Amino acid sequence: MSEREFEHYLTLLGSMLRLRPEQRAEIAEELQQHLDERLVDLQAEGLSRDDAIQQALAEFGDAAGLAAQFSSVSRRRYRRWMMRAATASVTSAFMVLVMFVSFWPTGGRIQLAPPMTAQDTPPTEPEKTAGLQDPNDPFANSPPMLHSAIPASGNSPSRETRNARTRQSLEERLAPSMVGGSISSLADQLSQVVEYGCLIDRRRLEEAGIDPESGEFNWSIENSSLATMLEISLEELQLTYQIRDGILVITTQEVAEQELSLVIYQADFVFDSVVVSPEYSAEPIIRQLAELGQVGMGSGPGAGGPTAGMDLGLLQQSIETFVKNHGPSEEQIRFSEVANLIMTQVEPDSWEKNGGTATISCVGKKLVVRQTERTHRKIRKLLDDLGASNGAITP
Amino acid sequence: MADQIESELLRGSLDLMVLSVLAQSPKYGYLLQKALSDNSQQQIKLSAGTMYPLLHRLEEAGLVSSRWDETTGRRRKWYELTAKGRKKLVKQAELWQQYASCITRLLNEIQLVVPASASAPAPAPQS
Repeated sequence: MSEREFEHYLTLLGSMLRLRPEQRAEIAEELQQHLDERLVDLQAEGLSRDDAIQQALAEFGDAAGLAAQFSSVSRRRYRRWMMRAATASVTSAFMVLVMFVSFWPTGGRIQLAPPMTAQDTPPTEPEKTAGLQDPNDPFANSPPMLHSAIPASGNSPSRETRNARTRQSLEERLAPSMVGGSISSLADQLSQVVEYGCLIDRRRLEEAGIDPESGEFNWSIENSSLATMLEISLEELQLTYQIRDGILVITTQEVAEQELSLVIYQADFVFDSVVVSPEYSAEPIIRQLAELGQVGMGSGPGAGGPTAGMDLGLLQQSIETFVKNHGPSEEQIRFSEVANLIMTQVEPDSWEKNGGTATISCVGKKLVVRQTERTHRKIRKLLDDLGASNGAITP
Repeated sequence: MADQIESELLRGSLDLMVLSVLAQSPKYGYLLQKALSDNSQQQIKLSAGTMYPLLHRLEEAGLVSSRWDETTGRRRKWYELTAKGRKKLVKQAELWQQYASCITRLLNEIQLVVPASASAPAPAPQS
């Protein structure tokens, strides 16, 4: 064994850090310094060189765990950056958004705001391919979503509007019945119906060994939406669809999972329906403690009143202050409830939290979700259903 | 209490401890680890694997700042408390004292009661 062990450890750690190369190098240097000094001290304490190396490394814990901790610092930084960007430099953009939203009626139902849906499929940078570069790295790329969420001014409809229109027509239009068509004839037929046309991602299909002229589509079910037909028929061939600039693109499931679409959902109702107790109260805890005391007092001989002389008010106040300062804010509670609801109900394994690639975050009461087109559809349904149930209750 | 303070208890107060040790003087990681251990009569042993991510997080939060320096003969990354960090430390320390004294009071109160109920039904098993 030699000092190479340190090097191996640091290299391993570095490879798992989802950070910029300079950041990685800096962390490695800092830890290397620490290990060197620790080694000298441990040897001075009488350990053999080998044992000292072993122990110094053991004190750091396993590389994977450490890498995850460092990376999570970076993710937090990203999130904070986003919040700052949202509140300061992009304030004007948000003003535009807010104005936009106000054109849509907001009743008791969940409103999905079509003009705010934005698709972000960076063609050059599929997310998390090598796993080395963190797509969340604030320095690697400026986050595209805020920019893409800004409705473009001008005469031609923005990309977001085009995407939203295509999504809408997939839901509203009925699927034509088809007998024995190939993938490419399916695309041709869809081009007639979808405003911005339909394309086949030929290169990706070929890479996956799928011939666009193959496939036998038979669809004779009446009154089903285009989206449902697409989902079911393409699934059989391990294919799926994306929407890019309003264009419906037939591609492989793998590609769709790498190039996620970003959609912003206006979800006021869902956020509002989370019940957050208005003020944390320490009272139940204290009552319980007091009861605990009562029990002891009752069974023991001659015990004094447990609450006598105890400043309950101060205790209660102190616990409440502590929770207020250290506990999650109301917004955090609301968001985590909503996010948990969606992540448990819709494709649990696809989310970053569970080892997938999809992400969910929020700005105010808007949900910012990066997912596949198919899963977006499920989220939309879930939110619609939630809104509908609300509509049934309120007069 | 055991030789080393239990990790559960430690977790909630790590930030506070690191900030307080840095308040004395700027330090690099290894030195900070030692200072923490020395100042706590060896009761607190913060592992390197916990400390470095923690330092980076504090830096991220603007509570400490860092710079590379070679004046001590070796190139090391030194951490220093920022004004924001100092403010945070004062506030946190105050809150901590408040909290700790409340818990102490509470425990003292409850101790009056515990022997009465605990002695009869469930004597502590002697190993």
